[in-house]
Amino acid sequence: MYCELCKKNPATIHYTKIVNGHKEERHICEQCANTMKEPIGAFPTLGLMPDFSMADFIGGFFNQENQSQPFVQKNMSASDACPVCGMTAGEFRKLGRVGCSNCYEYFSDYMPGLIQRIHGNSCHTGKVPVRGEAKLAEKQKIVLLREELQTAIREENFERAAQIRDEIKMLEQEGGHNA
Amino acid sequence: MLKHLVQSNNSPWTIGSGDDKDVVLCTRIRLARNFSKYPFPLKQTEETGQAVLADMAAFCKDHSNLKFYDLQNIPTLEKQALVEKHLISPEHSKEDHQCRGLAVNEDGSISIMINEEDHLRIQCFAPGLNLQELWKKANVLDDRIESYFDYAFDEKLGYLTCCPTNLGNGMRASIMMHLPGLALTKRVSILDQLGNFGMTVRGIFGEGSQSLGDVYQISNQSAIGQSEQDILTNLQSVAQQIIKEERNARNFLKEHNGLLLSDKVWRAYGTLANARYITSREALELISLVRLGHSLGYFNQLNLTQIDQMFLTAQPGYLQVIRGGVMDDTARDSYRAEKIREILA
Repeated sequence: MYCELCKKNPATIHYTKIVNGHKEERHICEQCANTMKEPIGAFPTLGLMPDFSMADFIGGFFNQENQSQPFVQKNMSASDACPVCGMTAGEFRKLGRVGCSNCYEYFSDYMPGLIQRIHGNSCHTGKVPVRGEAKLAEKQKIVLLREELQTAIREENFERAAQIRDEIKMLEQEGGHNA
Repeated sequence: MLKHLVQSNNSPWTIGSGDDKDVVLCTRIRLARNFSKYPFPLKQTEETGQAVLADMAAFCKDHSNLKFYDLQNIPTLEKQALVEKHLISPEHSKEDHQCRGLAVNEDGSISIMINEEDHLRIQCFAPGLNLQELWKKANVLDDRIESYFDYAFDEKLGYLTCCPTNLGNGMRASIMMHLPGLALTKRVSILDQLGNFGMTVRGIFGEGSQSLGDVYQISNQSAIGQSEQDILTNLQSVAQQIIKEERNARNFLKEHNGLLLSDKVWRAYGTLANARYITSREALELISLVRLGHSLGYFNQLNLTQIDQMFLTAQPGYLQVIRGGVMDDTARDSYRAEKIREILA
C-alpha cells in the first residue's frame, strides 16, 4: 500500500480519524506524517523523535538570535580555548559542559546569561568547604598586602616594600601548593 | 568484597526498616564534587585521570570502611549488577577506557563514583524515608574527603561541576517510592506537578518514561541559592504528601474494590509462587501487586525484605551474577522463576 498523500513511499502509518462521528481511515508514510500540520491522534511518529539531550538544550541557548541582550559575545571565536584544560568555545557550545573549574572564569564573558538562565540571579548559600574558607581569608590577606605595598612604594619606604613583596610571594606559593 | 556485595541479595532498597517503608523503598543523597587541581573527567588525560584514582585509593587506605576499585578490573556483568543496585550509574558502567573508579563500604550504603561526570559523586543510601540522618552522614563524609583534597569551589557559584546545571550545592536527594495505589487509581499524573516545586520524577525500572513495578524516583533539581536544608525540607514535605495520597488510594481500593483487589494480588502471588518461566517485565508487574497486597495485610507470611529481594531478582544483571555467568533469555527467565519461587517457598 502506498502513502495516500505522496503516492510514492510505502504507507507505514495507519490511523483512524474521527470527525463529528464520521470515521476515516488514513494510510500515510513517515515523511508525510512529519510534514502534516494537524497532529495525528496517538502521535505515531513519536518513536522517531531523538532522545532529549541536556547538552543540546544548553547548547541551544547559544543559537538564539535577535535577543535584546545577546547571549553569545561575538568577540569570542569558536576556537578560543581555556588555557587550563583546552576546552574551546565551540566544544563548550556543543557539549553544554565545561572542562575544568577555570572554564567558568574563562567563559564567563562568553556565557553571561547562561548561569542566570539556569539558576536565576542567586548566589550560593549552601555548604562552604572548610579549606575554602581558609583560602578565602588568604586571598583577602593578599589583596590587603598589595594595597599596603602600593602605599609603601608611594612613601618610598623600599625596605618595607621588599618585606611585603616577599610576604605576598610566600602566601601565593603556599596557595599554589594547596591548590 | 565487591563480589560479595554484588552477589548479596541485599541492596540499600531491599534491606532494613525505615520510616514509611510501605511506600518508600529507600532514600539517597548524592554530592557532586571536583578536585581543584585537575581538569574535569571530560577533559582528563590518562595521567590526570589516574591521579584522581590514586588520590581516592590513598584516601580509602586511611579509611578502612571504604574499599577502592578500579572499574577497569571489574567484569561487565558485575558492573551491570552494580547499576541495578544503584551503586553506580549506567554511564559509569561504560567500558570507554576512561579512568573510572568506585569506593564503596561493606553494605553498599556508601558508594563514591570516581571520575564519572565529576571527579566525585558521593552517594549515601538508607532504607525508607530518611533525609536528615542521611544528610548528616553524607556531610561528614564530604568533610573527611575535603580534609584531604581541595575542592573546586566559587563563592558565588558554589561547588563547581562539569555541567552548569549542577552548580550550587551540588546535592541531589532522591526518594525511591512504590506507588501502585496511584497507578491503579490512574492518579500517577499528580507527579507531573512536581516540576513546579523544583523536583523531577522518573521511573526506576524499564526504559524511558514507562515505569515497571510502579517504582518512581523523586529528586530535587540542584540550584544555586538554595541551602541543603531548604532542599531537604522541601523534598520531605513533598514526599509526605505523596505518601499520604498513595495510602489514601490503597485504602480506597481496599474499601471499595476489595474483592477485585484481593483477587488481583492473590493471583499475582500465585503466579510468582508457581511460574516456571517469567520475564523481567511480568515479574516486576506482579511483585508490585504483591507488595501492595502486603501493605494492606493480605500476606502475613511474607515480609517486605523478601518482596524487595524479588524486585532485585527480577533484574537481569544480578540474576546472571548469582548464577555465575552469561545466560540467554530463556535460561534467564526460567532461572528467575526458580529464584523467585525460592524466596516465596
